[in-house]
Amino acid sequence: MKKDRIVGGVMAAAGLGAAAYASTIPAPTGSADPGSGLFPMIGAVGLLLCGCGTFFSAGKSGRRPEEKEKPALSKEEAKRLGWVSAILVGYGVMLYLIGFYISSVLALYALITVFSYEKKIAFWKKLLFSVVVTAGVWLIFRYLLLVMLPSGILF
Amino acid sequence: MSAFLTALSGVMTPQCLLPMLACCVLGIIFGALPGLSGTIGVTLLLPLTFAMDSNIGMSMLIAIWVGGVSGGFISATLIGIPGTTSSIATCYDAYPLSKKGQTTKALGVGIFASFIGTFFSCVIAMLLSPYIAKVAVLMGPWEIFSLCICAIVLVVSMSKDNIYKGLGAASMGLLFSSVGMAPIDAYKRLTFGTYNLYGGIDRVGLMLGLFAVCIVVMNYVKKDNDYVIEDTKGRIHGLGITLGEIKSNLVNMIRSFLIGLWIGFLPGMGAGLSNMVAYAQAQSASKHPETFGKGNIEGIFASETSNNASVGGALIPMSTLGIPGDATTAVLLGGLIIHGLEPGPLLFTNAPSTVYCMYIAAIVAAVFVFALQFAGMRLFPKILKIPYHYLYPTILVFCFVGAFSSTNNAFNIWVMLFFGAFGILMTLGGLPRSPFILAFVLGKMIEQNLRRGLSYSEKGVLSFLTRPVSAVFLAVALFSLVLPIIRGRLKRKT
Repeated sequence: MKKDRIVGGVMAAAGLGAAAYASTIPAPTGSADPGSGLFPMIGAVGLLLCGCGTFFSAGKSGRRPEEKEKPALSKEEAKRLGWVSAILVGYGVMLYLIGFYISSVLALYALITVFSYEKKIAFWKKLLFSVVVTAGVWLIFRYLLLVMLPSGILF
Repeated sequence: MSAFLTALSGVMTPQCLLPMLACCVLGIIFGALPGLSGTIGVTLLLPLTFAMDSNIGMSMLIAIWVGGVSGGFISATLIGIPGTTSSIATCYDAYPLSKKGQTTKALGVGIFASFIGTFFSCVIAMLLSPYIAKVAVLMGPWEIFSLCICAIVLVVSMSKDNIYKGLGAASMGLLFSSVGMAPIDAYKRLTFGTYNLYGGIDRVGLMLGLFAVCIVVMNYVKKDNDYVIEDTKGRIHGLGITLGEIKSNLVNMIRSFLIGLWIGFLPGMGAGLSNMVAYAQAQSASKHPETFGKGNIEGIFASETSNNASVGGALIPMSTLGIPGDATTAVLLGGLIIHGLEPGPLLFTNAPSTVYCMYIAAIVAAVFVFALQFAGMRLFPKILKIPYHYLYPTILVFCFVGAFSSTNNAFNIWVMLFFGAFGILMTLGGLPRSPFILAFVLGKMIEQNLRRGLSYSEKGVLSFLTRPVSAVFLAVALFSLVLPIIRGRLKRKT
């Protein structure tokens, strides 16, 4: 119930913001064309109405009031989400700065470490796998598919 | 008839069949890898066919396309990540079925349905294309707009738990599709001052984020990696599906086939739309709609038959009118021009053997893809034996590279990560992703046709209701939206 209230509220607020933006787009005069503002306005109004609908219909889905709503993520899950998000954002930054080769080895190593949870995997195994996969991806994209990979702005 | 025989003798030579076989393998790989698709395969192969005989070149391009559309279901089945937009709906049931330890069955259904879809749609396209094309040209902006709205509403009606959330997700999809230059007047909207968004949000980046990154991250966060690995030793016969299962899905397949063929031949649409519409229809017609999304083979039959039927459908406007049915046929049209042929209504008159060659190549490619996937059916599940902590990081690296390579721009990686985070928030908030992705994919076309429809007619909005075909689509949309609500109310009363 509380979750749906939050979701509905966020949707309605986003819809309101988008509608305010769409209303600033000028409409052409002397033409039957409604202009570029109409379509985002339709999306924004739809979002606003559905947000209100979600907000006000929250709690009408048959859940008994005494039933306690579980949080979307437990503390442990939120911690795991934080770790993996940090690695993925870091990988994105490294790809931009130093290119594919080093960043992919580092990202793979870090991802294998977190994805194995409590299981201990030997350092050399993780490193070897990271290097082999990076080399494999490079070979496939560079020579088989003829696709360029990021080279990094620092190199 | 002589043109048909000339085309047949041209395709059925080792010089043509062997490269086609290689292209089918490449197409399946392109389709199965997240971020790549048959379209990218066709684009990459196009320059290599410049110096070739036009019939061989076009046959190779069509082979890679057919392989790409069909191959998308492999990653959708094994890891729940659609290789292309054409297999999004396949994920919903093929992945849960695979997780239950019935990977080979899920793959078998996909292989069979893919073959039926491609093979028969190409045969129908070859026989009836001049007649069907005459109907296609009668579709104006009003009908196309209403059809797109109808498709979105059909998919929204699948989210029975909360129709507001389904419609809200679709509204968000429409808003995100507004990013970039508007159609008709090129007004820059929601670009936040960056030129990277002038062309809009890249579909590949969005899809990779919303499906691949979101699924991999959420599986890790929720520790949802309890895959039942199937033991295939000596247990699986043929395709792993029974004749009874095929018989009970016959109506479902025919309906999905017609949906795929119809959507495929409408300009700008294709397998990306047809699979979701067919899935929604299969669910609403099923006796057990509650089992959809939990590993029901009806969903796989519907999605894979329809997306592959769009192959033949897309060939019809391309060969008879010179209008691309989807992104890949647009590239194929470029191939025709490069080979000195002029696409359009006169292509059938000027180069009939080339047109027949394309149809025959698509049919042969369907047979090749079926044979290749059948041979590989027992090997594909072995991917799942790779330990989770090695498999998922590798998939993520492929996603990053796929996002980069689709636009050759590092900005697309951030688009992917943004939609990965957005997908996670949608999952946590209980918002369905299908209406969002469908509305995003169709957004530009909806806007273009809405504005054209309003500009062309003096009746304004009423013109969408006064044209019979358009009115029927809108009525179906309204009916699909209202029916689940009425059913729910009646159920509660009883």
